[in-house]
This record gives sequence, structure tokens and C-alpha cells, in this order.
Amino acid sequence: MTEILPPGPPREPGSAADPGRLPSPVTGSTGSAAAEGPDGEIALRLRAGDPEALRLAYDRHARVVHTVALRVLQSHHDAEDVTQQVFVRAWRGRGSFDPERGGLAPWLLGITRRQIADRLALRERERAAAEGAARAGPPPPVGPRPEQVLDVVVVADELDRLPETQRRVVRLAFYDDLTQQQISSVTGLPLGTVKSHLRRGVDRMRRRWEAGGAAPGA
Amino acid sequence: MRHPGPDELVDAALSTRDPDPGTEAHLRGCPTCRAEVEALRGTAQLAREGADRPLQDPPPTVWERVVDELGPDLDTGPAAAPAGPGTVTTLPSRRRGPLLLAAAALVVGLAGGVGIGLTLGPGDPEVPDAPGAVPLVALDPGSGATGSTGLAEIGGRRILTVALEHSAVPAGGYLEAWLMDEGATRLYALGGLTAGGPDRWTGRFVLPADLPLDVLDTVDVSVEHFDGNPGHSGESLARGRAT
Repeated sequence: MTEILPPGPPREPGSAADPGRLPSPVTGSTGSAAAEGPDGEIALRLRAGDPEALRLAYDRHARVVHTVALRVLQSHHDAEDVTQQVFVRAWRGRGSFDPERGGLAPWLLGITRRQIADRLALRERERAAAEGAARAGPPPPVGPRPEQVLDVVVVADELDRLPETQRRVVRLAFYDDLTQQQISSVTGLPLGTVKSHLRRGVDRMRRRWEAGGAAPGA
Repeated sequence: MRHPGPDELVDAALSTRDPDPGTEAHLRGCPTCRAEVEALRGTAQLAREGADRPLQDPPPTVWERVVDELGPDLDTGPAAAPAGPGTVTTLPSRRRGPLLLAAAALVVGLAGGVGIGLTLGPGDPEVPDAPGAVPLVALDPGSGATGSTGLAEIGGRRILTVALEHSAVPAGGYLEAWLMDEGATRLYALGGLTAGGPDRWTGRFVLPADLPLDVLDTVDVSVEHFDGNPGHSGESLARGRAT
């Protein structure tokens, strides 16, 4: 749980005491840009072979790629390897990226899922070999399911990218379970403003989940 | 049937404590709105699961490893291996069209004006179709345009060949080849392509000895119209690297 603001004079959005707030994405600092805006431009430049576009894609998405890999594989070494491979493959396979079929983030996460699956399969083969094929029972419990992790991470990432006030309203609604009326009195924002912030914020997170989370074969 | 508004659905999804009776009744009978509420609840649930677990950036060494592994692949500057695949600069999007038009209008003259290439005549030595062929890549993959370009030195002259397969050339139009720099701010008109068969357009051009190919490193093929305007139309079909 994060902070519950005491009723009283509203704090300025972006004021210091917001301990649960995550740092802004490296290049998403405006926070207002929907994923498809800059990503669309980056994707076109990537397809065209612009090396700078790979760096921009990395700045915007390496955090999500790495976090998903780390949570599923539970190994810093493997998570870093996967992250490296995702961007190497994104560059080499840039010609196969089809903007008509989805955005840059779902595409990168599709590569990420395959890399993670390969890594898990390799571990399983190594384990089976170590135990001897005859004795290999059901696979041991590994980390959480990749799809579930991916959904949680992309939603958290989109929350990070929301504009400050929107993010605050969403956090109060989701984490602190406040009603819109309570959020209004806690923040001092008019009820209508709270409603529109919440609606827009949730909407963005939901679209990101639906588009970028578990798009099969992306 | 009046559906609840978006705010009411957000309310219904998030405030489980005092549901609005009217909205609740509606949701029982309306699968569409129910699905909407479920999606909102799912989003909130995912957000709660991710609460207070900050995402983790990879250490900076990972980017360095990406660059190391890609090596020269990533270097598409003029120093890139000449035999490598063509690098294509693309119009970032349709709405950039006017920008390129503006750039075309501001063509920086080379040697005192818009350059015009010298097209090989019939008496010239036979030039291979596309020596060291580099692909020309369609800017709009849906256009179906494919082609190649190549640069050869024959008898001390640099000769650039361009070949493009493209069927959708509008009536009253033709295809023209250009050399341009990366930002499409400097253009050199090579000349029109000639129809070399059904849907096939080709051109062979002798380049002036001092033409700076390290700057004008991109071959561009555009659709032009017989409108008396010698500048680039802004309608680029395909591009590739001139190497």
C-alpha cells in the first residue's frame, strides 16, 4: 500500500512526498505520450535501418524486457542475456516488423517471450540430462508464468508513463481503494477532473495490456 | 437501452463497496458492459499485483553488449561495408510528405544548380544490369515495388544502374532516379527511367567524377508527372544505398 493522503489542503501534483512513485522512464519523461506515438516513429526508423532508432527503442523498452525476463527467469545473468538478445534480434530482424500487426512494444515483447521460452527449455534439457532421461519426472516448479508476469509488468510500465496527476489518481483508486469522491476530497481536485483522469489513466493501462501484454505470436 | 457512461463503468469496476443499483441491474442484463467492467477490473488487478515492485533497468553493460555483438551491422554510415545490404531511409510517415516537398524545393544546387545526370546512350559500352546489386526497398511495402541498384566503374567512369519493378505508374507519369543525402535535403537528379518491359523500369547513368557519393549516398526512385516542375515530386517509391 502506498500513502493515504490526509484530508486537508491539496498537495501540488508532483510534490515531493510520493514515496511509492516509480522513476520516470528514461526517455518517456514527458509521460504524456501514448506508447504508439513515439514508438510509431521509432519503428519506422528502425525498419529503415537507422541505428539511432535501436537506441531509442532500447531506452524506452529495455526496462520492461529486462524486468519480465528477470521475474520469470529469476537470474540476473539470464535476464541480461535475454535483454541483449532481444535487441540484437530486433535489429537483425527489423525487416520482419510489420506495423500493421501491432506496435513496437508488443513486437519486442514477442521476441522477449520466445527468448525466455528458449532459456527455460534449455534449463529443462540440462536438468533432464543431469538427472538422466529415464528418471526425469515432471519439471520442477520454476518462476511465475511468463504471460502473467508480462501482463503485470506492462501495466505497471504504463502506469509509470502516465502524467503525474493521472498516475496519482489511478494509484489512489487502485492501491488505496478510494472512491472517486474520496480521491477528490483527498487531492482537492474537482470530482469531474478525478473522473476524467481515472478514466483516461485506466484506459491507457488497459489498452497497453490488451495490445502489448500477451499478443500471441507478435 | 441506455448504457452506463464510461465513468459509471469505472465506478462499477472499482468501487465494490457501494455499487450503484441502477448500474448493477444494467450489468446483469448487458454482456457488453459487463465485459467492459471485467476488463477494467482485470487492469486494476494487474496494477495491484505490480504495486510497489519497481521495474528494473538492465545494467548499462547490456547496451554495450548489444553494440558489441552487432558490430559493423549497426554501422550504416558511409564506412559500412560496400557489399552490405542497402540501407534505406524512409519518409517517416505520410504526413511528412510536405516536409520532403519543402526539402525538394530547397534543393541545394551542386556545382551551381540542380544536378542532372548523364544518361547513357545506345552507343555506350554494355553495362551489367546491376553490378553488385543493392536492393531498392519500397517505402510502402504494400506498393509491391522491388528493385536494385548498383555502381560500377567502367573505363574510368562511375556508372550507376537502377532497375525497378513497379506496375502502378499513373498515366501521364514516369519514374525518375535521384541521389540524395540522408535527410533528403540535397538532391541530385539522375534522370528518368525508361520502360524496359512490362512493369519494368531501368536506367543507367554516368556520374560526374566529382559527385560526392559519400554525401549523396541514397538512391531514390520517385513518381514524377509531366507538369513542368523539375523538382522531386515528394512521391518516393523505393530507396537503396548507393555503394
